[in-house]
Amino acid sequence: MSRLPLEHIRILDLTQAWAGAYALQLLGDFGAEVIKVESRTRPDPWRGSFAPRALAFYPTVGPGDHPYNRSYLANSVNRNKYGITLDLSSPEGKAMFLDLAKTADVVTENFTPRVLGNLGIGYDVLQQVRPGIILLSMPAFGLSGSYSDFPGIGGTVEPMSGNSWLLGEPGGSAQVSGVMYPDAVAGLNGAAAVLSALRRRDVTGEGSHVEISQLESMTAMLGEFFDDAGLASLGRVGNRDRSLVPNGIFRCAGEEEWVAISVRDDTDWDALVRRLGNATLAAPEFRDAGARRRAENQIEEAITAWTTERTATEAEAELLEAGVPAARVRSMADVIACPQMNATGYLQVLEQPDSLPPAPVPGVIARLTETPGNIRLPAACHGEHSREVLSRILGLDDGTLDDLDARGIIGAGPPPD
Amino acid sequence: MSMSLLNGLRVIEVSCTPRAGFCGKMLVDAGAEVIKLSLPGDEGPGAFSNWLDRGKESVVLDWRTDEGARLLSRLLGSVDVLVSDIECEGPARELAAAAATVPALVHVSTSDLGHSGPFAERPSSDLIVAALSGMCYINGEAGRLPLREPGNQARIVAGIAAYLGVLAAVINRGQSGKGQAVEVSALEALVNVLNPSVLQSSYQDGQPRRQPSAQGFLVDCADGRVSIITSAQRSWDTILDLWGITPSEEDAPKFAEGERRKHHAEIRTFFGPVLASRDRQDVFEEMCAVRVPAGMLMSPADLLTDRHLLAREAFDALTGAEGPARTFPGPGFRVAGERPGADRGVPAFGADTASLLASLATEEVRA
Repeated sequence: MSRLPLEHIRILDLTQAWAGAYALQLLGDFGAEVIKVESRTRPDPWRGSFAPRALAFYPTVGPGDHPYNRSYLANSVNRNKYGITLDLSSPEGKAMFLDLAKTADVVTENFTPRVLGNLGIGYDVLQQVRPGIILLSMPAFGLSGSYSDFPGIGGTVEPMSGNSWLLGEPGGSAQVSGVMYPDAVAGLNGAAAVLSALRRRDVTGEGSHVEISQLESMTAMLGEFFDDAGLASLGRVGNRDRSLVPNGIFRCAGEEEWVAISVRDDTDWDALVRRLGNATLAAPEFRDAGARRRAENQIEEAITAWTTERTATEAEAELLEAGVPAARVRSMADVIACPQMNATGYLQVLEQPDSLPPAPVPGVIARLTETPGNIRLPAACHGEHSREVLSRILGLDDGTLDDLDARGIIGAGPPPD
Repeated sequence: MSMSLLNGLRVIEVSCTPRAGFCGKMLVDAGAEVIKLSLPGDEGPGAFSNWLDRGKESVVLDWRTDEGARLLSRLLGSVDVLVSDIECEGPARELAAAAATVPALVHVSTSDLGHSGPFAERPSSDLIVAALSGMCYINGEAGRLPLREPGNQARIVAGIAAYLGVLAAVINRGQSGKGQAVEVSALEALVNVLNPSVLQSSYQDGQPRRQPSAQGFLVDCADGRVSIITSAQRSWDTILDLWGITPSEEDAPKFAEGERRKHHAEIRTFFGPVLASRDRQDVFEEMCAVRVPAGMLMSPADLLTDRHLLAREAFDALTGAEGPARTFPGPGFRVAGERPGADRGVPAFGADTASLLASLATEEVRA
């Protein structure tokens, strides 16, 4: 079997929720050994809490006896990790963390900036115990500046970032994404930051403290809008594009039936006009993106008149036959059944925690042809690997582990009374 | 200056979409030397993007000719990484074939829908990727227009995925001494990002779907809007206490954890009078001070004058361009304590061709 690209890298992960967990899952997919360190008393908020909560992230079959192992949120971003618990507020917990850090290449966290130092495990301490170590910090607003101590989550970062301002129907209200998308974007950037720092260490031997501002990583996605004389008057952009006209999603016959259509050039435009059979749009002046831009509302109305007379599946097939970029708007169930996702083996069936049935999940984000990443472990349950990891890496014996467990310094599930 | 993280890494970029283009931008930001390779005839307005191509070098080479192919081969032998969009690799993927002859080269090739498989030949765009990925189905409001993320974010996500592929392969090369080909599909990358929603559809039949409102909890202040997240019980209790709001006993069940999202209209009637006369900045900071997550609704133009982002020097100026002054968002990560970005301009088309070819010739003479 080929080596994994990051097989030689060990990461101690203190992040919670989506952004950090996703960053570490991406690195775990490339082969890094990721040890997710959770609190003994308060599980990762994406697990919920020890008792079932009135929030909607449990499976339809119910939260069961271990609801904190049944959240689809947590279980979607914590594969390929060892899950351990450590009470970092206890001297013993902190000492074990630093002993683990002595063997680690990377530590990751997404607390607000002062927390790590207050726990006594800031970058200065980590550097002392492990020269060359890399620390990734992922606070909402970055480590410096006037908002740095403020809490932030995807739902507040998105309105701050400019994304919500642009997201919405033209003329309509600002919106937030259907998922806390800025978290995922921060996760991508977190993985990128760690890999960049690892490359630097390979070349110079030096460690780095790298940081993500979730706010800035989201705004970085919007760069194209800043190259616009009309920046100050930008509103909701819908699905329109700065270059392609038309570019939109159109209602079809039936409930929640929609088709996406893009016209990349005049060839696509000619093919679309022929398919629509619309004499007005066939006028030669529309073979120019500028002219189409000025008539965009009229063009979108003409397309809608055509799409609403057929289902999305029919519209997609007719347009593709004509060579026009088109796609029925797919639900997640459709994605799971997608011929492309399945023919290429991208979706893989993964065991789920706490006796839930196996489920299809996306594969590794980039396909390295010689040393591909892979999925080795299902999402870790709370504290599932505490004993295995502390025994393997720190050499703790059963008696010591039993004692730590009994005193609530390590362990799984609700702490002892 | 840019970050020093990737100093010494040399990259050739052959791009015609923001997939390889954004990957190249990230590499420039992190300190790599990125040479954008173009074919003669590709010049003209729009050849380079102020957003993506700042700080890159420009080399023009017709690698479809015999002499050009020979130069390309030597050029690829002199760099660490090739990142490309499959659309501009040539009709028979000649560029990929040339890359495959250089064993130490990392070649990351990006596509919209996949390098193989039933969708590989479908005509595509950023919006088509977003529609196929499930993203549009969950963005927007129930029964109303499904939405992609604004701009070309499916392809930008692919650009970040390509960056991850570049670095994973470069780090692996540090161990093995060997380069390799890496494939990135925007569709796969976006579905990877949406993993929580993919798993939700297995855990909860029929989910996820667009909600009746996609406006979150935005509430009006005197000069704009603020988003306040009250889903955590502690946050809700803190706000009621702070603003002296007491729902009637009869109404209390509506405002229990998990119920509040269904009663935003009523919550607005509580908060509206308190906030109507106050500035959004003031409300945002008051909420954050008591650890309630809140955010101002900001336009892209608002961001340019935000005091926090100014203090962090989060925007970089475009230099050397005609027309109005423009600044662009800096990179998504930085080395702590450093200013990551750099004021820089877009190269003139082919500006670095002569010097690069001269350096190749010098190397050849040495060899």
